[in-house]
Amino acid sequence: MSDAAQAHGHHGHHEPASFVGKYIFALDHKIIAVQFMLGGLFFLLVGGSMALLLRWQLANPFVPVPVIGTFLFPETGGYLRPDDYNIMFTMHGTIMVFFAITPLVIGMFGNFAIPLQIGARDMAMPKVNMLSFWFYILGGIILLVSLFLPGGASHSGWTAYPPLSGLVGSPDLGQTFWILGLTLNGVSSLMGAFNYISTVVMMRTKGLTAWRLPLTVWGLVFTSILNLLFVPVVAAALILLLVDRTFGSQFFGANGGSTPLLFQHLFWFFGHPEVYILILPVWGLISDLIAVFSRKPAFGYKATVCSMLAITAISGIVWGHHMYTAGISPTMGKVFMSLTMLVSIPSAIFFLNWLGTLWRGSIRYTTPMLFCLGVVLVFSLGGLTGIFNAAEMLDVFLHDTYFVVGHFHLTMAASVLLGAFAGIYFWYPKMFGRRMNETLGKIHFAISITTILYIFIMMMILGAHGMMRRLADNSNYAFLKGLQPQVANISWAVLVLACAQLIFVFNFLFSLKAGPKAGENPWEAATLEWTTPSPPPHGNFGPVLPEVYRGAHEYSVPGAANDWVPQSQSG
Amino acid sequence: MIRSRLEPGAGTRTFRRYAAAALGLLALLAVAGGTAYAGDEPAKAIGLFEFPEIISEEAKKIDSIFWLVLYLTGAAFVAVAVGLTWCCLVYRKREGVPAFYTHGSSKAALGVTLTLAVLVFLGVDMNVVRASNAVAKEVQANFPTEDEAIHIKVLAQQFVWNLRWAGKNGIFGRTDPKFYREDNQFGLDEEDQNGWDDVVAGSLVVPVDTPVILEMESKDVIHSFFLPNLRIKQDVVPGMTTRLWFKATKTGEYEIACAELCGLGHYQMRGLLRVVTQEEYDQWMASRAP
Amino acid sequence: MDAAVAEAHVAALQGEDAHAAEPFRMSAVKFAMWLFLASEVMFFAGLLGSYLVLRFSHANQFSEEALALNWPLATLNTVVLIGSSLTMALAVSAAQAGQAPRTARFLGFTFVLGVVFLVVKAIEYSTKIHHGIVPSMSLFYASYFTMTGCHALHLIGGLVPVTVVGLRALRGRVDGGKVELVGLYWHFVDLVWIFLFPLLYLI
Repeated sequence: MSDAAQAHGHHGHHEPASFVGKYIFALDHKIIAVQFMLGGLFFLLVGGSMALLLRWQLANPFVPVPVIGTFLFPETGGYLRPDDYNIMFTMHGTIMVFFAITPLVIGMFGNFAIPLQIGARDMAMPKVNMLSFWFYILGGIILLVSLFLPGGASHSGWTAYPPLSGLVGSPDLGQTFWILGLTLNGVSSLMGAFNYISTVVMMRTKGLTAWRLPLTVWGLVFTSILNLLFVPVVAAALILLLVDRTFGSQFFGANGGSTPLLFQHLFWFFGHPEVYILILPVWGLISDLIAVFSRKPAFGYKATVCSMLAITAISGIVWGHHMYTAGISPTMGKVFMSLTMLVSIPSAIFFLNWLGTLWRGSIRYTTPMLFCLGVVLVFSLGGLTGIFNAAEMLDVFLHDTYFVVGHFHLTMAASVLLGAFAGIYFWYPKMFGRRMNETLGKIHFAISITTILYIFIMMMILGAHGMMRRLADNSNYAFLKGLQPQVANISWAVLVLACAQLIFVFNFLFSLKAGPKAGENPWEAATLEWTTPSPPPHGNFGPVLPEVYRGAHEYSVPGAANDWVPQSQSG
Repeated sequence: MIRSRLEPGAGTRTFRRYAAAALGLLALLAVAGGTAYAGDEPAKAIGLFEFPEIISEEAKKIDSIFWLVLYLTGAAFVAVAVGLTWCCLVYRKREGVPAFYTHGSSKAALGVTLTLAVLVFLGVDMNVVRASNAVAKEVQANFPTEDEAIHIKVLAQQFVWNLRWAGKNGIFGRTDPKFYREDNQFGLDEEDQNGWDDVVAGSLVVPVDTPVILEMESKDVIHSFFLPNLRIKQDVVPGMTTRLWFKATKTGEYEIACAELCGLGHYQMRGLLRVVTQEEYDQWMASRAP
Repeated sequence: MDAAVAEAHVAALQGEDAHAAEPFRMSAVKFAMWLFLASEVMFFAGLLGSYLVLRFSHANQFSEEALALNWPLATLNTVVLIGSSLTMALAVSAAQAGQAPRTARFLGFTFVLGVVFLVVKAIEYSTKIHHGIVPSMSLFYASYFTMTGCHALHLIGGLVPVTVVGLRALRGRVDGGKVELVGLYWHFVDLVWIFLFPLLYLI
């Protein structure tokens, strides 16, 4: 290949013929997107199974887990020891955040949507893209292997506060593996971030100006900017922690005169933007999808983009609201509270625009649309309950209780996963050329949304009782023991939620073979990815790249032949 | 139109058969899970909205923020939910009624957006900030003066709360980590006479209606001193001294919890708060004096 | 490969793909390189920020311990590294002019200077460790070893692409764009040292 083509971003690379070249070390962004999706779904299964074990332990403390207990915990005859419980919630959190949700909403959405929606043949750097996936897998393997180490995996929570995560609290190797796994995952995220931003900035097709980009692309760009700026900071914190653990230094210990709070600052400086890293692609996606299925242009497109920008900027200056009770000065607490409250303004504008898009629309209740509406409902609950936690003096009571657990699961777990499912149901026809079954999809949605709302609202009510998170057994406390029936009910709902996901797995696999053929544009959507065959060929578009003449959501244009006008239609 | 494309195509019958089988399997799993469930019923169930009893004026103030935020966010949630439901019911696809073509970028839409922004900022954000700051002024920043309050030192360790009173002379004895022993958890220096009358106990005994100042340190990892009935908590961080104060107004036995993950015994790191009358307190002090 | 894609391939090679973008007159890969450097800045900002926070709370202790560092050796290293930046800049301009032998020569100089820096660093480290100065001794030495260690690892990471493009240039093949990418990274690593040197050795 000539140098000129390489400078243009490798989009002329040959389609590989061998299986390994095509599907394992794939360079084609569409294959990498599917790889990320399968990886994410696998880790979703692992992390979800861990949640089931956690809920079993909470509903039936120190009762052997039925059927698989003796296999998983042979030392105890099948039940979780307190340390096993700590390991399980640490790994559940880490796996879900970094190895399940991140690859689904960033790895899959980003790789699949960006080149197709901006009219490019591939990412700017396909090899970096491929490495990004394999770094992610390597990090995941290291994390899973750590479960089988003699001392078990990390047990200090996904936030890994030292000294508990230092040599004082975790002398075993598990925590070191955790650090390595997370660092590799961070490298993977960074590689994705450079690639996404430079692809969007440099490789848009002719006519695709900034204000014509689909909102999904905008969301992914802002996510990538946050990844780019904040992942390196947590990498620095993890390296300092690693030095503490391997060379016995005291960056985050108390003995050398340092303070463990330094780690918390570094961690949350990244950790709070991480929440927006996960939710921004979903906001973008559902803004697009609600427009598609309401058959209306996205309401307040520029206001949505500006709100995303505002959130991106604010997210970097609010981390202290995770530390109100940690021993920071009360003045700092008040500053962080005031800054945090600002998040509510762009968030409110999102809701206005989503409802504005639905308003006087012609709504089609397809499965992806139902999941989008689910995101709106669940995120409204999650976002609003954030105000309880943001109020400094109230957080003094609610911090580290199930109220926080319920709140952040609604925002960064349930909303994001519902959004990820919306994306999968929406793009499945484009990925595999066949449609998923709508009835099963709707059953999947109905069970998921009901159980999700029940589970996390109940958790928040328990949190208002002061029930602390991360307790292996609540029955030690008199003020919690009487809530045991509610705790058990939540576990029940989690079991139902988990079973509902099997419907999705079945639908996903079965539709690969038996789903009806999708055709080019099954949803009658206007963005560029729906102008190519399903699945798109290597190189995405025909001999000439499409040219863009209009915005991304031209639906129900008066006087037009159809109720959608593709972006690439001239005139 | 799109609805027609969603009609079941070829191969749907087999699909339905498999789907029915899958759902049946799920039902079986759920029943199996149900029979395996074997939780003990607790002696006395707590109602869903029977929150822990409040035992101080300050806790009441903190709770008042909860209700304020609940009303504000509740109103916002109702607005979103009603709007969503209304749109979903009224604007579902109807034959012959096309969607209204608008980009929502008119001056009117911009006006609505800005109004909403101002409304949220003043109505919710500033209200909550003001309420929290007002409570902070009376609770968090309003430390009692040194002489009116009882000072108690808290030393957290995996997985116990150690408590120490200054004793008769009102002066705490010197401590040093090098003296940490099984029978000297605080590491009291035996050569320091100030420490000879220090009272060490496992449960927090305080007189009612009297301000108490806690000075907290940790031996090993981060813990968090949590008093649910007083609605307060404060992390206890190694290498730092953190402070907390409260004034309990009701006698009785309450619980102290650890709210920050501190290791495998975290769930057992429970302490006892005994609020007693002044006479009982004096008696207890006298009985504990060495 | 089917016909349409083959045609697309040819079109791409001839630069006929309709790219309205490329607004900054640089390749997407070079733009990505700048983004990468931005994230590297945030990484070292995390380390330096932590160091400064610790330093402000232990000012006297840090300044005293900093006296034990070998500043003449570090000054030598600074000169070596700035020199390597110079040779790298010359290599880039030679590569852009298409002069393969000249590019190879200057990349060779850069490589040698990089190795010299690492050797001097290794001497510094071994003397310290010989005198019992290790990361666990104090916060200052922990910071010193961590930050210079991260920098040295970055430098080693830079030697690999220098070797690759250098060997290519030896065989007469130069790509101005690629050498420029390597150069960007190399200058960045130098720049980090320009921050580390005064913060660790001089104040």
